[in-house]
Amino acid sequence: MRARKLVGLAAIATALAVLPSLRADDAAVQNFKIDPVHSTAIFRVKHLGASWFYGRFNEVGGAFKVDEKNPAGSSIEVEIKVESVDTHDAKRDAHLKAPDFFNAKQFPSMTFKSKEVKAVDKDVFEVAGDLTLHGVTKPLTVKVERAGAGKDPWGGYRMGFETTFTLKRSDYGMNYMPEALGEDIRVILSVEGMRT
Amino acid sequence: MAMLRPILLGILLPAVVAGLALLVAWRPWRRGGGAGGGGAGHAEAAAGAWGGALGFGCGYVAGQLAGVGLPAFPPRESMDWFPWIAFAAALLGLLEASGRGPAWLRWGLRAALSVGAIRLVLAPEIAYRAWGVWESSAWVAGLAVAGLLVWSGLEAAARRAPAAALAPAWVVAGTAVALVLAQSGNAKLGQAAGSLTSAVGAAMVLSWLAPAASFSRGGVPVLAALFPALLVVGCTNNYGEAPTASFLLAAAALPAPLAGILLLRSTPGRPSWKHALLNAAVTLVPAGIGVGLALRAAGAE
Repeated sequence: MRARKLVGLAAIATALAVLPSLRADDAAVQNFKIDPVHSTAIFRVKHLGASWFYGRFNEVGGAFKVDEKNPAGSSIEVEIKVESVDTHDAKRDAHLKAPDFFNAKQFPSMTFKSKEVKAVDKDVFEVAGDLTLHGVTKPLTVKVERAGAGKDPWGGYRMGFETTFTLKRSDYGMNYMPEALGEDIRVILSVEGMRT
Repeated sequence: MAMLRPILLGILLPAVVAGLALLVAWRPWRRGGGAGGGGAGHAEAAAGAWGGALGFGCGYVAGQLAGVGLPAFPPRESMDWFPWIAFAAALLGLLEASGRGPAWLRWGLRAALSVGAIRLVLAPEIAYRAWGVWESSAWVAGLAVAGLLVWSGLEAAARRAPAAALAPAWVVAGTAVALVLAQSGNAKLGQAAGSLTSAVGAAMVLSWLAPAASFSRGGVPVLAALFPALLVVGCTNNYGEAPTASFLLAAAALPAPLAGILLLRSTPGRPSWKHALLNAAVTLVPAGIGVGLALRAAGAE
């Protein structure tokens, strides 16, 4: 009798221990903090009309919320530090940070804040929001693809998304040296979030 | 070749615009060599003084618009303020060219323009460093006083010597300002300083046709408001290797011709080539050292 009681208690304890993680994985609304170590912002711009050169921003941060049952309830905010621009050339990086281009002192970060999320299919979303770059805020709609999701070795849960979009730099008041640097900037933004 | 287009527009256009304004003002085709030519002296030179204000002001604005691009309106960055500062300085130059008003009013307006220009272009730095009212006021006041010192040096030189004796020296100083700014990782600012220098270059060419024509009361406010403000923005946004000494020496080069003028005691009237050469040589000392330090720092990197 006593042994059966103990077995019953152990089963309940096990269920209580496992339940939170099961509940969290299946929860409709999940909040994530962007992991800067595993998130990437890459851009490419044409040089002298001859070739593409690539650069990246090494500091990507922010947060997103995923509502599986009601995608319209999802949202994302991304902040990228302009000072972290890296094109594998220190002099060019310094010039990009100067008032000729990003003006990093006056406009230290670029941000994207979503306003509306629509599901295109299970793993593809159309996200509309405001992009603020170089002190100019403009609406931007991007197609975002879910890269995947899963548990990490430390008991956490992660989810990642990626989007590719093209900006016209003159739209954001960055119109210097149009002959040397192309007008269109293609951006690949990949974020990995750690569930909070 | 594509890279040359903005440089040509930023350099040639201001020269043409300034040249046209100075041509109309100085009228070098007139008998006696234009404004103040021959024995006409100061009175006629002052009569054409508005040409400097209009030529340098409009030349600069044309150069910035063509070379750097249209500024945002309302202004967002320091660079966006420069055309407005140029307009205000040109207006002050026109007012001063009329020769009316007491000295205290002239200096009051000059101080207001200096303080206003420095405050506007320093605003991003004040925000970045989160300076309080006292700290930001101290910086603005200090830099405006430094700007007024440069102004008084430019003014004193322009009053004592005709354009022909001064313009080569100011082309040297302006070129130094442009090169130091370019070495600070600010090509836009360097190009803007180049536009203003180019406008002075037009005056240099025309001044040999109108030897007694003067900058005083007209062009000096534009130079005195723009060059120091450009240097302040470059120094506070130094993404290159240019040392602070380069900025200070470039600023010091602007009033440097005064030393040459005092040395040779040049007077209004037809200048000798010796005057022009000495003034340029005196200016070349701080200008050359400033640019040399900036280039050495860039090379050492």
